[in-house]
Amino acid sequence: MLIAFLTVSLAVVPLQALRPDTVFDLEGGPRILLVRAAGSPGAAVRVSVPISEGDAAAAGALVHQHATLARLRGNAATLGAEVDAERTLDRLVYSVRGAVADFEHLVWLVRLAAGRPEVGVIALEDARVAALAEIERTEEVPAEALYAELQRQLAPTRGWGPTVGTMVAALTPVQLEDFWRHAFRRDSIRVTIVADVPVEAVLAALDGLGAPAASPNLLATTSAGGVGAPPTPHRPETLRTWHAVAYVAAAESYAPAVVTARLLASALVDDAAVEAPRVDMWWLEERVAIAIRGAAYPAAEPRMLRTIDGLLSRLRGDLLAAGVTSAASAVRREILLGARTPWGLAALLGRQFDVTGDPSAAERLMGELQRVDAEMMRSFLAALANQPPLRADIRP
Amino acid sequence: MSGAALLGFALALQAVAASPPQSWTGGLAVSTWPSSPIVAVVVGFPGGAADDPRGEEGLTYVMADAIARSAEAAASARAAFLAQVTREAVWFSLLAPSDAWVPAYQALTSIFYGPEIPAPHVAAARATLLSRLAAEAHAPPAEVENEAFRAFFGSEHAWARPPAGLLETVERLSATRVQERFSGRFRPEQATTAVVGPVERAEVEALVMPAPTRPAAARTAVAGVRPGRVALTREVTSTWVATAYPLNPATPALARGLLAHYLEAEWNMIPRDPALFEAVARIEPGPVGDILVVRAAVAPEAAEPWERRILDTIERLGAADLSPPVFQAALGSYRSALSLQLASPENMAQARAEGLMRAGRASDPLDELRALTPAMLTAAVRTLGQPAVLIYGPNLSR
Repeated sequence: MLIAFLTVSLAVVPLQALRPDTVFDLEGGPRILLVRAAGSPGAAVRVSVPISEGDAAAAGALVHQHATLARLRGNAATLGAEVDAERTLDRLVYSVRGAVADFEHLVWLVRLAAGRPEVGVIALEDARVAALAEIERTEEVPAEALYAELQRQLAPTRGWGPTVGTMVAALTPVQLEDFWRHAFRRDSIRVTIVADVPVEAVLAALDGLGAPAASPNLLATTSAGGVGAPPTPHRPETLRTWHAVAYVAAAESYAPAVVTARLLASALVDDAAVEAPRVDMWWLEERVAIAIRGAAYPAAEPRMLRTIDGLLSRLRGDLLAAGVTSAASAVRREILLGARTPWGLAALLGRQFDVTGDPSAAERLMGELQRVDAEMMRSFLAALANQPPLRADIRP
Repeated sequence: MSGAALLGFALALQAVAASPPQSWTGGLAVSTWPSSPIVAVVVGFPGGAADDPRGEEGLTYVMADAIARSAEAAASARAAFLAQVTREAVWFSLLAPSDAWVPAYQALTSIFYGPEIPAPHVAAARATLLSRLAAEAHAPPAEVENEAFRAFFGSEHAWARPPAGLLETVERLSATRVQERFSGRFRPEQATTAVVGPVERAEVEALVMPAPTRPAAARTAVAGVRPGRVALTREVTSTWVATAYPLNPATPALARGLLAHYLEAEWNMIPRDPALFEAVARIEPGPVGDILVVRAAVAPEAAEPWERRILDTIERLGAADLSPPVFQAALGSYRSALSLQLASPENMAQARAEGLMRAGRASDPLDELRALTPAMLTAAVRTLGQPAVLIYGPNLSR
């Protein structure tokens, strides 16, 4: 059953604490990271799967998330465990947390999430309604619509295209199962566990998780035909102008990107011309994107646009070594503080593992944050500025 | 309420008044979590906001917050610091990467054992509190919180005063007065410390040099919860029902926690009463032992039924033991909630430090959970004192 097994030594310094104690692959999948959180009474299990390109897969992921989360929450509540789900541009993630004494129960919840979707007619309809409501909210809320537009430019075949709503509305139980068979193939599932449990308990609990590896991707071949022409996306009605830009670069090292996002955010919140300021970083396998957004009423619009469009240039001009060191230190502290709970550590390890495929990626990121300097930052900022930024606007 | 139950309440109240619980000071608890990237430290000192002189409410709060801000600046932002002021104690906590916790702890102690608090941080703490109090000035939940403690203990009682003070008292506070209050306020022999993270007890002892755990000085405040019902009319859109029951000091801490958890779960059970906005039950320290505090925000027309329901639920729980399946389900749910809470190192450190200060020992709360029985829960309820009740909301009879 076990085809690869790696054990690393228990460590106590911060960087090594972010390295999994054990990384192993069950035969045919999934790939599992385990951190033995000795002493902690809590436990966390995070499972993530890739979402294929196209609206059909996006619709499947959306309905799967709403249907599964409703089912998980009902089962988790009986024992006081907590569950959550999130979608990135290319992955669907379920997280479960609770008492380490209830580890078997937590894994059972994970098996429910990753198992064949047994969704009744009413539950499927509820999930479709919830998914459509989420799509409508994204179209109506300017900040979300703006980012959705940027992400469409960034990864045209990822996220939600114009037909996702009609595909959600028409999604059948058979199509939902098709989505599961492809997305939850054993060999594409990644599991991160932070709990004081022996490896043997993990092996027994996760054997046979997900769908058999040979499943064809039937959903990907499902066309939008028969559900009408693609609708025109709604535009939110606003009183303010919303503006966003995204800079993209190859992701040779994530540390300069994280520090850049931090420095840009600090500069942006200090500028009174920009309302609802926000800076985000999106990881996309071999690329990293830094998105900046804000809003302004008509009188302040020109200044808001100048501020957002000129932010990266100003940072390049004003970059100081002390500022880089300070920002890197603050980011490092925030990441470590976020990883102080089993679920925080599972999220950090799992997210970095998803993006890079490297089980030690979180530890590597923290090491890079200790070494990042002004020279590395200048090089990264130049790479960002080297490509024209993506832009999105919503006007009153 | 039956005559037997009333007699039980009366006896319990006498017991509460006759034997105030012992409190402790000093000591060190260490929990070794080898794979945690973070070390959490909590340091507590007896004497909290209830000791603020009348007219100077908020003094301890400003002082403690200024200390935390000073420590954060001294540690060059490598650690996060927080001050927490309750009516009975002042707590400082720090969270730091495991390679930075020692200088962070030294930064903290250099401030609170030092000669004075840096003036800019006193000014910043006062300004931040004033801003918060101004924002809360007309917020019903904040007034409910203050009025509830006036109803529970009597308006003249030191514990009736809000720990963060009032807008007018904090406006009057001077930096000089804060420094006077600070001078010699914190002493190493009074510190109760808990450390959680990838640390060993020996290395922590070398740094902290803990004083032995010993009984604290007797408190001067001896009044318990003042039974009765107070109704306050306000032009608001919800009604709050707040009740406080004094707990028997002999009730184990975890039985108290399970009681609060069970009550909250029962009242919020799905499908929830649509007239209920929120029902919260928790255990809080009181001047002579812990109290069970219940707060429910409800639609005004549901205030009377909810007041009855709260009192009836507690009476019913005291009448007979829960059946084994119901008790086990409640215990499992409580264990899970407690595990989630204590999985954060700062919460584990706080729990262990409070255990030292209240009971003179810092055992693992989850270990003690296994000893709980249905009879212990029933006994906890039967020995509750008589409740104080506050009803805060609109007058529907007009």
